[in-house]
Amino acid sequence: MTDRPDLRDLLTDAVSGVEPRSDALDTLRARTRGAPVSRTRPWIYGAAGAVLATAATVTAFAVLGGGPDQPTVDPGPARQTSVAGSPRPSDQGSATPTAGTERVAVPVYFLGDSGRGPVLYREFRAQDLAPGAADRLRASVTLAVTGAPLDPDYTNPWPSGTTVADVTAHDNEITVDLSGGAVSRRPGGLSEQDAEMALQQVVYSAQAGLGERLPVRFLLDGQQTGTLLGIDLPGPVAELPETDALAHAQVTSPAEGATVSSAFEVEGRGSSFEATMLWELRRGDAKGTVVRSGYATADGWMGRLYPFRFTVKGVSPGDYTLVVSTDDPSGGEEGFGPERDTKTLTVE
Amino acid sequence: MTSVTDPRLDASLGADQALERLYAAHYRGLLRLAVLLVRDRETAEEVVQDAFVAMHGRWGRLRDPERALAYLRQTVLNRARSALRRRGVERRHLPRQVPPQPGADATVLAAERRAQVLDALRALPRRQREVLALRYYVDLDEAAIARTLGISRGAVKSHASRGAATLRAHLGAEREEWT
Repeated sequence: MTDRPDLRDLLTDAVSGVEPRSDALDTLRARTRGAPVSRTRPWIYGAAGAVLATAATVTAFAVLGGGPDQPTVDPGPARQTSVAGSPRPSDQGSATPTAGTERVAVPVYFLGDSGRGPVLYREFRAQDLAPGAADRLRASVTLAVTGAPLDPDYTNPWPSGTTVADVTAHDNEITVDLSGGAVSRRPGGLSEQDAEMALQQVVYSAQAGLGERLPVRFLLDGQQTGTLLGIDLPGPVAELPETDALAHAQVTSPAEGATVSSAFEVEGRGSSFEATMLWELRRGDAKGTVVRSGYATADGWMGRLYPFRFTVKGVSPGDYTLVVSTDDPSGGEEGFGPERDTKTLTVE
Repeated sequence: MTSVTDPRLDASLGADQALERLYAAHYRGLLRLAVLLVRDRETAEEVVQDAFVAMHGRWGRLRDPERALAYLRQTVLNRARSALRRRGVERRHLPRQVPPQPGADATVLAAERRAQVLDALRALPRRQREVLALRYYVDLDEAAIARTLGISRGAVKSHASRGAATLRAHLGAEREEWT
């Protein structure tokens, strides 16, 4: 890139008259006064033990720990706020990121079941990464191919031994270079539908990590490949529409295995008849007695997933399973029946 | 605005003090960057305000002014993108082809010229606009831009040259009259 002093002058001159509003600093002071400043335990926020990480979008990627005003990348129409809970006790200890990194919530998708066949569910993981989108993209894709889901209802269909050699965002596509166990042919035991969704899992994770909806070009050991997991690849793979690829009921927070207080907020996204999401809190496992139930209205229900949230109050200490499902007014007579997401929780 | 090491900012600073000092050192520069990105003055101020509030909340982990500035810049970029998407008008503003009025005085000409540059920038594809702003306004080098945007250095180069060419083409006619 050669130096272009004239462009420099042009841009500098174009904004040379821009000055902060006279009340800019006062507004900042007012907005930050008394704000909680989390220092040492970014995953754990307040007495509830649930963390507030605003991941602001589907594809988003949240920097954890500071409350609702987090930077976000928002590539797509599906925007939502999500809260990542403490994923598991072992992740909570390492609190201070190492030098030059920041702790962020990396979005990753895994496979789950539905009446429609395999669908994608999203989780978030805390990782210490260097600032910038490149590391986030790589982290999301690596988790998608080699990571294990926290939620026991989800699976990772990628053959073990598959590794991610390189992930790069270009102008119009993302390249994901796989090696190791990655095979062009479909392994036995993996259905064609699962294989299709395995590719989508990487596409959705990559887009979420990068914060942009770009198609993914898969490479095998650095070379173009005509098939991957038995799926023909004429070119880059674009994302399927959200309502086809994603589970229609997804709980973002609390995360699987989280510990919460007697009153806790649930956030998720869904696509359900008339935007109605149904929920139950059951004692013990998903077959336990219902101790609380209700419904929440999502921000919409047509054509994509929409955020919803609700609060559960007055729960006595113990182990519970939260079940959030779509509404199926036909009672299973039409369509594929309700879809659901379950999270096991401990109330302290 | 690239040299940011400020000995007064050290790890012992509280978030409130850091906010005050970073405000003094960088608020205006970041606001101007945001104007280059989103064009609209009010939106730009909102974007930068939000970035500072977010930085304040993270100061306990940022601690370092260099990192704080990198974080602020990244946040401004992210939020500028979101703001443009929210408005859904990423390329609504085409460059205005309004020639300077004959006999207009220097102030009017200058304002018109600035508006044309901002409009032309706004009409560029988002990546090109970001690369040009980081390269020519913030003065980041290719590697730093690639890191910030999560794209390859080759992509930075091509966005920069395409963006610059388009910008020049849009502004070409008028430029003669400015100088």
